[in-house]
Amino acid sequence: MIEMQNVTKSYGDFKAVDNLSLHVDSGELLVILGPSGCGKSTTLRLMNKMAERTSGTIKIKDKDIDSFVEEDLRKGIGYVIQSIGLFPHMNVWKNIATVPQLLGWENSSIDRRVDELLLLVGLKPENYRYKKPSQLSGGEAQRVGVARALASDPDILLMDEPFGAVDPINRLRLQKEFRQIQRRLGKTVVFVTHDIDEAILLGDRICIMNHGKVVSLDTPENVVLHSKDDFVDSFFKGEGILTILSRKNVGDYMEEIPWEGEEIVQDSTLKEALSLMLLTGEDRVPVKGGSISFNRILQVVGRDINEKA
Amino acid sequence: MRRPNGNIVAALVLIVILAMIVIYSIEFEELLYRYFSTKNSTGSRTPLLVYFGQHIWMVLVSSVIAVGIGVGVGIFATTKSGEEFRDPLLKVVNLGQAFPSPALLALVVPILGYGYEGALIALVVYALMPIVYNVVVGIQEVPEDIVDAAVGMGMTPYQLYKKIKIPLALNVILGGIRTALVINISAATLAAAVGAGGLGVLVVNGVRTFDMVLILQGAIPVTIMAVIAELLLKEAQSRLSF
Ligand SMILES: Nc1ncnc2c1ncn2[C@@H]1O[C@H](COP(=O)(O)OP(=O)(O)OP(=O)(O)O)[C@@H](O)[C@H]1O
Ligand SMILES: [Mg+2]
Repeated sequence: MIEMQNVTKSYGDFKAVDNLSLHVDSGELLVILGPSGCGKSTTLRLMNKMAERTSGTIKIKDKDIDSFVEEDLRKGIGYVIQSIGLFPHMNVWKNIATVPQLLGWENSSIDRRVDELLLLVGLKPENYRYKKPSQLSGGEAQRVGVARALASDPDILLMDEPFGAVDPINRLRLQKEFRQIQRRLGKTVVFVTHDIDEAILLGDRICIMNHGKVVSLDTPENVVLHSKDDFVDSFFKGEGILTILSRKNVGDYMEEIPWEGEEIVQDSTLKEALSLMLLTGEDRVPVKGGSISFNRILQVVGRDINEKA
Repeated sequence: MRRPNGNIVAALVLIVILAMIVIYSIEFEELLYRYFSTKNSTGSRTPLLVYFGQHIWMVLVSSVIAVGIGVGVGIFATTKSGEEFRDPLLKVVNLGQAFPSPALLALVVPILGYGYEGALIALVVYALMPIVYNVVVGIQEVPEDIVDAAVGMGMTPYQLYKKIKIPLALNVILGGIRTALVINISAATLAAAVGAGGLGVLVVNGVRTFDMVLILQGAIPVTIMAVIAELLLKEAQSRLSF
């Protein structure tokens, strides 16, 4: 879907992106992770020509991005900028309607689309449709930002730290919801973050960058558990393993052994099950239709660890 | 959305007062004589209405022209192709605002001669300064990230100006137009000195003959007009900008 080959972006002598190659499959969520200033935003902006590359080629849907009219390329790609950038003089409806209006949709279909998107990002249309951005909380604004990027139903979404301004609790909920939305709609997403947990939770693959270069590009499991790179190791510092557990559902690993106590649902994550064990002091917690044990969780992680070792 | 509106009410009251002064100019003159003068020299002069009409016409024409040119030049200076002009233009415009209006008029006469055209051009030039300045600064002050989001969504430069930059800069732009209009209303008084008519004729004659009444007859309507313009544009600003 997206293909970058030997792409370099220089500002004077400084290479913000340095001979970078990567590809993103259709329907894949690729996370770009790395320290501040490593070139994440720049990489993203090269894809929709918000930044002009110095050398290399970029293809979107097998077509060189230079073969598109710039505006048309951008209209076909949802883009959430790092600071959201809602238009302060327009209400939520108008913000979301921007690209459909540029594309000349009829008002009635825009109306329907705006309501649909607000519901999708968990905002009641009747409460939010006519609010001004100044009347939204940071988290609500970011949801609107995401809805706006999805408005014309683009196949590709570029998202630059879209949940950066949300408090940790709501962020987790947003992340999970977004993951579901992305799966359901089959969108191809490039998602920039410098939050390790967010990367592990969301990514099909994680691209770790440093100094404008790709240091590692692999599945979260492999990046966290099998890294052979010192920078990656130092970046994660052993963190992330619990987040790996939060990618996995209890339902997939439970046993049909009945157990006393308050049940958790099968959609709960292994991380939640583990937390509950630590809280109750027992090495097994009941799940609807059975239970899951501490040993099982160890096995799951162990298998991941040993798979490739 | 309806709120009691001080600006509009005050403007309406002033418009009524101004209309009364113009319509009952004879009575107004008598009133002024009672308080401000010992000599009574009511002669048949050109009626106030004529000066008033000339004045308003001069202000309107010069302001419309200045808004047209000023907004155009200002917008151009904020575009990519106008980038090089921007800083020099801002410097000129800043200096221009400090340039005394009588001096500007005095400069125009030798070039364009006595009369209406010269005064009009001087007024246009003078009104251009705050308009151009505010258009450029207003558009430059539109936050970078908002422009970034708009461009990233695929807006063409034209759409960017129409939907984002100008609406967001409108408050500042209207502020410039307001300043220009108020300045022009009072600067048009000086136009009389180059023979272009207007309420300034009364003031100039009054100064020459030490006639307080004549001065006030010209100055009071000018002041009221300036205040009305100020109020109405303030109102427009608060309504049109987000
Ligand atoms: N327009 C520009 N001119 C000069 N240097 C730039 C420009 N844009 C970015 N850079 C530099 O390029 C480098 C990469 O910037 P980029 O915005 O891609 O970083 P990032 O990884 O997104 O960082 P963050 O996590 O802080 O957002 C930085 O060192 C930055 O200073
Ligand atoms: Mg960034």
